[in-house]
Parts: sequence; C-alpha cells; structure tokens
Amino acid sequence: MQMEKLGVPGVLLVSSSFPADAKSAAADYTMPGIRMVTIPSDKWYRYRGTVEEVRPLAEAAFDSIVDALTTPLIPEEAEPPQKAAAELPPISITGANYSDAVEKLNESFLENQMGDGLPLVPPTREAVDRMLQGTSRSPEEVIGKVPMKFGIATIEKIAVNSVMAGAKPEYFPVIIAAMEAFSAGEFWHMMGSSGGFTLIIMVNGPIAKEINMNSGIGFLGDCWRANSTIGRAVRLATRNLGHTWPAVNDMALVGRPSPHIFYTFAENEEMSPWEPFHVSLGYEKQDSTVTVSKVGSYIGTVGQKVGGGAVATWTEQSILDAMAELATGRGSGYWTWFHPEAAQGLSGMGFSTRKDVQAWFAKKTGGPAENFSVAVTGGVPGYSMIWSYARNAHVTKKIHGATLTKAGR
Amino acid sequence: MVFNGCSANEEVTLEVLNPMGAIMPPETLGLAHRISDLAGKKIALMHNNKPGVTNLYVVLEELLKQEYPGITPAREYQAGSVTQEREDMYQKVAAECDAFIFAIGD
Repeated sequence: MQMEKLGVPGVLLVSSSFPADAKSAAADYTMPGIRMVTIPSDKWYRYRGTVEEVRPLAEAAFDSIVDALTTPLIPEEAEPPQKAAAELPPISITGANYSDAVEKLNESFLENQMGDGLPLVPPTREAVDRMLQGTSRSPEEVIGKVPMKFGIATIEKIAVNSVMAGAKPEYFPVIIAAMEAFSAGEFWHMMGSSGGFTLIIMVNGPIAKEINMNSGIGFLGDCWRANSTIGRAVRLATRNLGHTWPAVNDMALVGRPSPHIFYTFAENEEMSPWEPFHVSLGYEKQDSTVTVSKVGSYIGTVGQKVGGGAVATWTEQSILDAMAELATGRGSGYWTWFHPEAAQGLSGMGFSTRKDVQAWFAKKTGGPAENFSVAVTGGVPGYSMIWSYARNAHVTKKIHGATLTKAGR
Repeated sequence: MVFNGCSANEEVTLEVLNPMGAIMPPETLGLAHRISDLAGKKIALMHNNKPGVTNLYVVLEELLKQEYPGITPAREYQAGSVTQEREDMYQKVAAECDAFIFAIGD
C-alpha cells in the first residue's frame, strides 16, 4: 500500500487461503481495491520448495500478474467511495421462552462473529450496568484501540464483553487494566499471525488474593472463576473490539494455546522469597497490576519445562543452566518462571532479588538483563518454565478505579 | 414481551448491547496509475521473507525477461517481514522502480 500511495503500481501475490485476510488488511490501510493474484493453496505450500516444482504455478499466474500491472484502472479503483462508520446499535432477539432466546442469541452472535464458541451470558443493559459498578471510571472513557481493525475500546464496550464472559464486577478493573496493556503494546501481530501466538496475563498485588485468583497448583488451568473469566473477557474483547475472526484476519493455522482464556493467573507472591514482580518494576507493594505478554504458540517456543515437578529431581543450578541454554534469541524477552521451591533455593544461594537473577542471565547469555522477566509461579511441587516473549508486546499497567475491592482503587 | 423474569413459557425478547468496537474508517485511497507496457521497465520483486518466494521469483524473472525486452526485474528491494517493515525501502522503490510485485509467502 505504501508504494501505491507513492505512485508506483503494483500487485500482491497471495495464496488462495489468504485473500480475505489480505483484503481486510488492505481496507484497514486505506486501499481496499489493491490488485491481487491468487495462487492455489493446495499447490503453493506443497510445491514452493524448488524452482522446478513451483514453475507451473508461476506460469499459470503470469498473465494475471501482467494484467494487474498494465490494465488501466476502472473509475472505482482510481477514486473509490469513502466508507462510513458502521452503526453498532443494540441487538434484539426473541425466543419462545427465556432458554430459547438465550440459545438464539448465542447462535446469532456466532453467526455475526461476536462470540468464542462457548455459551455467552446475554449482555443486557442491566447486566452491563452491574458490571460497570465495579469501576469508578466513566463508561465513555476510551482506553485505546484494539487490533486487527483498531476498534475503539471504551470502558462500556469492555464491560459488555466482560458480561458475556461471565466475569464478576469485582474482576472488572483487572480486565480494564489488561485491555489497557493490550492496547498500549504491539499486539496486532499476535492477533493475526499464522504462527498462533497467545497471551500471558499475570496479575500482581493484593487484588489477586481478594478476588481469589489461583496462583498455586494448576495456575494455568481452569476451575477458578477469576482466572477463567478475566482471561475470557480479554479474549472476547480482543476479538470483538478488534473485529478479528479465524481464517478471515486471524490466520493462526492451528489456533492458539488456551484460546478461550489465554494464560491468566496471579504470581505466587506468598511463596516468593523476592519482592513481588510489580514492585521490581517500581510500583508500590500495595498497588495491583496486570502484565500482558505475547508469547509463543503450539508450533513455536511455547513455555518449556526446565526442572521441578513431582517426578524428576532438580537443582537450582540445573534450572538456571537449562533456561540460559534456551534463551538464545537476542531480540526476544524471556519469562523465567521459578516454582516456589526453586525461587527459595535461589534466594538461599545469594540471589537476594530478581535483579540478581536477571544479572546472572545477562552474564551467562550475553543478553541485556532487562530482557529477562523473573516470576514465581505455581505451588509445591511445581515446574520452572521459560517462555520467549516479544519485547514490544510486554506491558504492565496499574489497576485503578476499583469500587468493590479494597485493592485497585 | 421484554424478559422480566416471567413464566418460562412466555415469548421473551432479549435486548442486548453490541459488543463490537466502533471503527473510524480510514480515508480510502485510489490505486496508482498502471504502466502501459512492461518492456524496458524496472520491476521490484518484493516479498515478506517467507520460504518459497525466492523460487517463485526465479521463474517469474525468467518469464518477464522472455516476454518483455529490456525489462529489469529487481530483487534487491526487500522491506523485511511484517514486523520489521522499512519505510525507507518503500521510498527507494518509488524513486527507482516503475512497478512492483509483492508476494506474501504465507
């Protein structure tokens, strides 16, 4: 698009699985009419490996490529109509009874690409107002824009999605802060990439305990309402505020890990020998925060166990060494998660603060200390893990405006 | 009727808020004018650093040279992956080339 804007005519070559994504992106970046030539997906991915294998595909596409560069523009291409902002009015759904109406709502929301495949709680005005009671912030406040299409995230829109997710109003300030973090970082690639990245959403500070977040055994799993519905609210809000849908402009080929609730948990501050993660960033201990990071996928550098558990033996040094061996990407950040026993052991070895651990990794790997984020996660026993994350998509925000909890006010 | 907690067998209407984010559509721009013929022109062959595109471009370059005398297919203009786009490269293409082909290798 940039080159067309600069007056150079061009053509996009895309596989036949990507035109919807390409057209969507072209429209987002001002040029919906950009000319494209498609190459059949069933042949492109199989036969692009050698020049001779790909030759028939190039020959078949050749005339269309030339036409795209030389056929004069039609008026709609030269001066396309301007798009008006879409109306987003309330939605009315009628059923034979309440259960039927809820079922119809769920069907309608999915058909219109506004759900996640699990049952949704109807976001009635009453339910949304109840959610809004969890914050003192104005419903009209804009907290940012959400990729892929950069829809405007207001407090009320986040509340609508939080109701749909089944969250309690007490959780709402945490969800808002997570969306603020998401809007502030470079998360668009995570939302659309064929690699299927996912999110870590880590909560720190006293609000985590107050709303009963799991930070112990099973902390990345289900069965805790706060963990599950905070994550689901963020998932729904990113989809719906960002207008993102699988195989349209979310091209995660095998989906993404923990797709409905991401990885949402609290740091285990009680069992940590160190100051809480957010305090190491400069926040006060009584503050509560949310940290959101883009991390790897099923097919990439998903979190890897480096020691601990109920079966194998380990030492603190073996965990450090294994992490350092995996932390090879100089451009990446790394979450280094220590299970409580390992963290306590490291503390006994002289790692008095997280900064000491960061400094060890910097010396061992040659990478900058700030590339390593150190957290204490899980229970006893537990696993220590390492995840790579994108440094431009790793954001911490302070929770504020809470009205129903003592923390996060 | 609007649902108000009445009998489970009465018709119910749920009035709910729209969960989608409002979008302010960007200005829609027209395409650049096409060139009348490729003969003698310089064409940038660009891609997004995905496997296989270079093989495709070997063949396309051959075909372009066969069909259009004096054409210069140029593969040195690469703007990087989607997360590393280089605006300076786009400016360079605009200054030095007559048209471009951009292959998305995904």
